[in-house]
Amino acid sequence: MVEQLAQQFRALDGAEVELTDPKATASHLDVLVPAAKLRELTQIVRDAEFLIESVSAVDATPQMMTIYHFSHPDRFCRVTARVLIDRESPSCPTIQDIFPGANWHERETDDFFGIDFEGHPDKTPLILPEDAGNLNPLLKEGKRLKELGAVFPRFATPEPEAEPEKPATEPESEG
Amino acid sequence: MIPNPDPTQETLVLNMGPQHPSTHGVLRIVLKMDGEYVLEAEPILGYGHRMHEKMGEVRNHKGFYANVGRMDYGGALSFGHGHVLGVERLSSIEVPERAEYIRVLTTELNRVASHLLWFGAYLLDLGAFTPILYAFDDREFILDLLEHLTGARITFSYFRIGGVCCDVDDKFLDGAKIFVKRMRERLPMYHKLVTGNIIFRKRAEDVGIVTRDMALKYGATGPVIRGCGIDYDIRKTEPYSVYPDFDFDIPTDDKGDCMSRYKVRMEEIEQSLRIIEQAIEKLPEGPVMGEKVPKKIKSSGDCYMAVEAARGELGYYLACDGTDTPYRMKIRSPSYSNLSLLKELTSGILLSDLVSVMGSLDLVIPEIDR
Repeated sequence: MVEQLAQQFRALDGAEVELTDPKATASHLDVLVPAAKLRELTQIVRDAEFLIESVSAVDATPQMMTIYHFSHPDRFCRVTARVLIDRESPSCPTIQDIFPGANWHERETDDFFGIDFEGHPDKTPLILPEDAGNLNPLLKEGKRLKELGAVFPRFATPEPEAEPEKPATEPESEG
Repeated sequence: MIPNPDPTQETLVLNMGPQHPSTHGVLRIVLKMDGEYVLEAEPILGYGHRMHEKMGEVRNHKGFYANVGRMDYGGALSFGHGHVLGVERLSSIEVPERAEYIRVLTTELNRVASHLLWFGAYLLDLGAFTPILYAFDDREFILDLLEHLTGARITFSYFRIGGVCCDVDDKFLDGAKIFVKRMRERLPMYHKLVTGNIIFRKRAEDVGIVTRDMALKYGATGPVIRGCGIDYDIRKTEPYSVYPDFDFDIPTDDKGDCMSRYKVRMEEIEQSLRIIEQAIEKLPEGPVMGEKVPKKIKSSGDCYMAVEAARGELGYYLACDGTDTPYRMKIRSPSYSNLSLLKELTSGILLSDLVSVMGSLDLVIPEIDR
């Protein structure tokens, strides 16, 4: 099943498919997919009778990332899909017509990150009050904002030493 | 946000909540009604949102202990279990076997308490006052036991990264044994009192039918998905902790209505009792806290950690940047997805059935409004 799905994902233009160890990451397939192909990937997952677990995002520089988790109800198989999106005008296609369960998750992600899910029928805030404006509480600023490569090793630049301003691991105080 | 009723049609907009007793917390539902029939039910969230995900990003892993118990007041220990397992997975921290057994033992006790709370509250929603008195009597027994062990009755923060904060004693273990025996005697009485009752059956049977496809596309988990015939339970599908050591079944039911969800939960109480019994019997000797747990737990990379909470699949998505504070923490709570199918599920049903459907979904609002 994993192999078959991996093959279908590889057929998508620009998708990077990684087979991961489920014991370490809880997921079998980790797919980095271009925004334009997200809906096709979702349709494959839907046709394979997966259920939607969550939609979320991570704010980083230079790009943000939306993350989707799907799991199979009959056997242990989880697919993680990632989409890199522009930080200046964040937008991503909606999947709520394929998985209606994504509707609230996308609205919540919009509340917290200000990501515009293109084609979403209801863009009113779900969690935040209507007058919250562009509060976007989970966006990071200043030294809290890290490079994508610092959080996800696969996006690390090949020569990290060459960059003088690579964010060092800052000491955090005990909570 | 509030549906705009067409004045030419005889529709009525009714506000249910945020202080309605059957919403079990501050949930508001805007109902578009045609007489007694619900045309559209739109849940409105966020009245009690505390932004636990943000708190997770500004305090270190250990600082989050206090938060886990404040999301789900029914089964708080599962939320702690998911959190510590997630951090341990990312940081490759070993946990002594005894600690894992204690985690499972207490989580299952908590699950029974949660199901008893649901049982009482659901029947109360349907107008039956007596069951909650019996259910709370039994639940009180569990809460006293857990209070003796953890010091808390509802908002537990008992699990630590690398183990649990204190060992169980004989008083707790004996109490748990007495509870299992007592609960086995009480369950037949519950069934006699409620399950066959004709009024209850009319309120629950063939009401709010969730199909397999609906559960998948909305991501409904827990007793909701098991009530429509899918044996999706993280404890078996994706075994974690020491669950593979125990012999227990995953109850399912085919019909997908409120009655199915009721039956699944009642059977789950019995299955949890089996796990508790075996955990006490097999409880290994040894320490309850790993020796090599660093003071500052630095982790990097990202992972997902799913556990089976009382209401369904609870997932922690953690992304870390090498410090001892998560860079991003996403909490996928079960009731959130379970509630999201309400709109489709209740279109065209009676208002009184809506109350039954919501009760059968076992909603815990602080967990939806994380």
